[in-house]
Order: sequence, then C-alpha cells, then structure tokens
Amino acid sequence: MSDLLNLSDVQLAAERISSYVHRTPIMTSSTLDEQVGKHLYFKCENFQKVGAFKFRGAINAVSQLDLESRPVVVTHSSGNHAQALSLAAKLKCVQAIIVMPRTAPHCKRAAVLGYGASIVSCEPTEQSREATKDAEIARLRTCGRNGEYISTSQDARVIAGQGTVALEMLEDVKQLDSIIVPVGGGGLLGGVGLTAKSLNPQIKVIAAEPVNAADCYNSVKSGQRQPLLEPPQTIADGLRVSVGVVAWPYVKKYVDDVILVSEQEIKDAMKLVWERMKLVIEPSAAVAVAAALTQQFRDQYSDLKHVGVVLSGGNVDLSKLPWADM
Amino acid sequence: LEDIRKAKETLRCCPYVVRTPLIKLQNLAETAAAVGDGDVEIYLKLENLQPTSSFKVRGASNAMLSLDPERLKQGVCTASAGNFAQGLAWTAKEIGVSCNILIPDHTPQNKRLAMERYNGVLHPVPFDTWWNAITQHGDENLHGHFIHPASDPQVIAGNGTIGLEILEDIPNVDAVITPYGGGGLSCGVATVMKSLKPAVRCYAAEVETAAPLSASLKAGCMTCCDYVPSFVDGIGGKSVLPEIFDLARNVLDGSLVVSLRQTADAVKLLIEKARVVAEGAGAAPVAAALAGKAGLGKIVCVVSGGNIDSQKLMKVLEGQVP
Repeated sequence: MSDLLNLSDVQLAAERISSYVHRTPIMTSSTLDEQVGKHLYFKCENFQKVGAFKFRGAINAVSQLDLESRPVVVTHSSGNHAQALSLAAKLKCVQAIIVMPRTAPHCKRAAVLGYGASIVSCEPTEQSREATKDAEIARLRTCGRNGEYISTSQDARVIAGQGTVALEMLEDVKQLDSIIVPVGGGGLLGGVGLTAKSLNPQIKVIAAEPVNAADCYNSVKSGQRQPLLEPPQTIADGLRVSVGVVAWPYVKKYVDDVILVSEQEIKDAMKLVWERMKLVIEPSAAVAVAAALTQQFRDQYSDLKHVGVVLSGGNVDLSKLPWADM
Repeated sequence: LEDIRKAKETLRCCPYVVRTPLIKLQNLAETAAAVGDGDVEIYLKLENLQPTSSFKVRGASNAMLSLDPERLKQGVCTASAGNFAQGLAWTAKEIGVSCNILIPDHTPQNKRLAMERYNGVLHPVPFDTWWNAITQHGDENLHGHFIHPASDPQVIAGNGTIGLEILEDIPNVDAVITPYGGGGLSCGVATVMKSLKPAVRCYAAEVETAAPLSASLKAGCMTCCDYVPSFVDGIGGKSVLPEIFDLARNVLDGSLVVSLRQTADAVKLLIEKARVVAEGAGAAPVAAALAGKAGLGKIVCVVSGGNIDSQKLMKVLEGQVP
C-alpha cells in the first residue's frame, strides 16, 4: 500500500513542468453567471498544449524518467493522452509508442505521428489494449530497451501533474469556494481534489459525470470503487473509462459530491459555451459546465458563490458536432 | 498616446472590459508551406473573448466613462448594426443608462435580437438615412449622446489599449495586423506602435470583396471600390471614412487583402488549432499572416470578434465558403 501524494508533490510538479505548459487563462461570462446566479470561473485547459489538460500529467511523468537509460514511453490511448504523451516525449527527446485501436480515426493517428511517436494497432477492446501494451513492453525488454508504461490517469506522476490545474486556479481566484471537474479515470479529479483541499479544506470539490457513465457517482455514494461493467454510451468520449485503482483513493478522500448530467445537457452546455463564450470545448469538458447549469447544483449549493469550472479540453471531431442536427 | 494611456486607466478600473489572453498559434508545421521558409510566429490577441464577443466594448466603455456623469445619465446612441451596437448596448445596460441604436431597415433578425438582448432600443431607417448618420456623426431624431462607432476619439483611444497590452505581453513584436472596417481599431493600435515602437510593422487586413483602404492607398487618395456583400460582415465597405483616412495612412504600413476562401479557412483553423470561435473579420488578420503577407518574425493578429452566425459557422466547418 503506497503513500498517497501530498500537496508538495503537486507543487514540485508545478516547478518541474512550468517551462513546458501554458499557464492557461480563466475566463468569465456574465451570461452564464446570470443563468446560474453565481460567479463561474472557467479554467481554459482547451488552450493547453495539445488542447487538453492531459499534457500536464504527461510532461510531469516523462520529466522524471532517467534519460540515461534511454527509456521508451508506452501507453494505450487514442485520445488526448496519446497526443499529450507524444508531445511530452518529443520535448524530452524520448521515443514514444502509442497503442491505438485500429478503428481510431485518421486525424487522431495523424496527430500522434505528427509528434514523432509510433503507433501499434490493437483491437478495439479493453483486453486487446492491455495485452498489446504489455506485449510492446516485453518486446522492448528483449531488445534491451527500457519500456516505461505511462497510464492516462492511473499513475501518481500523472495525477500530480493534473493537480497543478488547481494550484493555478486558486492562485488566480482566491475567493473560489468550489471547483467542478469532469471525471473519467479520476486523474484530474484526484489531482485537483488533493490540491484544492490541501490549500483550502473548506472548498467543495464536485465531480461532473455523464449519467450514462455513472461509475464515479456509484462509487462515491457507496464508498467502494464500482467500475462500469460495459463500455458506456456517451458523447463525452474522454470520459468513457471508469475511475481506476490508483485514482480512487484520492476520489474517495477528497470529492464531496458527484453531479450527473444527461447527454442532452452535455450537448446544450457545449453549444452554449461555443456560442456565448466563443470557446471551443469538447463534450467531456462540457460535462462540467452542464453540471454547473443544473437545477440540482443551484438548489443544493445555493451557498456557493464562486465556482471554478475546469474546461478540460477542446479537441472536437468537427465532422460530428452534436448540434449539427439540433 | 496620452488619450490611450488615460483610456487604459479607465478600462483597468471598469468591470466591462477584460484584459484578453494573447496566445501563440501552435502547430504551424502544415501551414509552413504557405508561409514559406523563415521564422514566423503567429500570436492571437483574443478580443473575441471580450463581453459581447468583440473588442468594441473597449471603445464603448471608454467613450461612456469619459462623459460627464450628468450627460451619461441621459443615455447614449449610435448608428451601427453590428458589434459596436452590441458592445455599446451591453455596456449601457451594465451602467444603467439607455441606448438608442439607428439601424438600416434591412438588418437581419438575428442581429436585431442580439442588440435587443442587451436592451438596445432599435430605430430602423432607410440605408441612406443610416449612412448619413455615420458621415454626419449623428441624427437629430436619436435621443442620447451620439458615439460614433469608428471615429470618436475616445473610441479610438479605447481600441488603442489593445496595442498597449500587446507590447506588455510581447515587447519584441515585429508586426501587428488588425482587421479594417471603419478604421477605428487599426488607427488606435497603430498609433500606440508608432509612438512607442515605430519599428513594428502595422498592417490592416481587408477582404478582397470590399477593400476600400487598399484601393485608396494604391490611388493615393480616397476612392470608392467595388463592394460585394459576404459572410465577412464586420469589415468591408464601399469607401473609407474621410476623417480616418489621413490618420490611417500615416500610422499604417499597408493593407493586406485576403480572399473569402482564405478567411473561411482561417476561421476553421482557429477552431481546430486555437480552440476559439472567430468571425470572418476576426480571422482575416490570421489569414493574411498565414499567407505570408505580413513577412517574418513575431506577428500579432488581433482576433477582433467572434460573432458569426451559427449556420455560416457550420458551412465553414464543412470546408465551404458561406
């Protein structure tokens, strides 16, 4: 049983990654404030390198590798973590191998290859992803290379990197009384929760989750990690994984509540932010906005006045905009 | 410059204007071919992220807050159907005074709704009457203090604060590109550069379907040009405003003209690479920089606004020119 991360791990991460990451702005909107009757502060991680907060965790992990041993970083992802790790590896002159389902869209493959990483295809199943990743690491070992698996969220180095989002938010908006964070594997939620609560034990940390992928909700309510049994159907493609083993202790300890949102609420929130704030956010990011806009949030938390909302990313499949037929 | 510095103080203390982010446009590798060999770094001053989604709140706020409070209480008015009307109406609403807006009677419904959303009181008139208000700086039937959308000195000073912020963020900037409609933005920003850092190249950006500044600069005097309406409705008219032209040709190093195709492509690129929604006028400077028209070095493009009609945006995302 390893020790949990603490605030100083996140502060060290911030120093380690500061020359690589963008300190993203916080934007506000009088339109959205009027709608919810609160002050909302949107942390624009859609402006982060590779267009998502994932770059923070990736560069924090890669920066801690022993470069003398010529490591090769390996992961399985077709989403933002794939790009994040590819760029982080490129910046640190480390080779990267990304295991991706053969069904991954061309633009995602192109992005990863563009950063100089190589792709190994697998079948579009959880089993195949894991097996192919393990096979790659084994193959590297037989070639005398040091393969380092860097998970998209189940890695303390990654979680510490994601926590730097909260450091910046609390530095910029001292009056924050709450932060709403979208949850998939729990890396961002865990890191933000740990950091925010360490800096201000009174702050409320609220997860936002698609109702179609409500494993975090079930887990938090029952006190036991309850991963989904089947891949969920949600437009929030970054949140289709369950809270993982490494992130769960942070979620259990630091998260106050989980707000569930419907697919329609996610689409409406995404459209609202595009049209009124002119910010391009992806559906997973819109989940947090949708949670802030729910009647439930307004009713249950009428005392919360200064709410941080993490806009986790802005990588959208432009051929599949959810309101194309709205 | 003094007026602009004063404007900066005014705006710093007011809640109606934000100090917008200035971000670097990443991943230019695939567009490197267009830009050509050499070192080009493109930065975006995101005025589309202002309240009402355009830079116009700077000029509107500065003009209103520079008024005698008694005069301000009587309300303001303007002639505009676009972003300036929205910016003025919203600021007036926040301050708590009335705002009357003269609009051409062919103004489409979506623009009317946008102005009314901010409690602007609309006065539709025939186009010639409306254009008359622009050239004469007012209309006797319009109640309130008239603020000209482009050539009011306090509006230009408000716009100039963008230039001050650019210099704070990128002191070694090499070039700045601003979209040119009425000319108030270009003149404000370029005045700052010429006063504080004259080596900075200051360019206007226009669309080829209506480029009166380019035509006038070529002719050496004010001329009218062909005018074709397009999806780029924030800039592009038949002629330049006379009171602006002399200032413009003193402070600007030229006008960069881009096509509608290049502009639409830039709107799409900004969504994909910068993750912001820009309207045609806001993307025109980026189109010019990507086409290599502004030369090399650190180029700041002022993304002036983000008010693009949803349907037009969908067409752009499909790769079409709306």
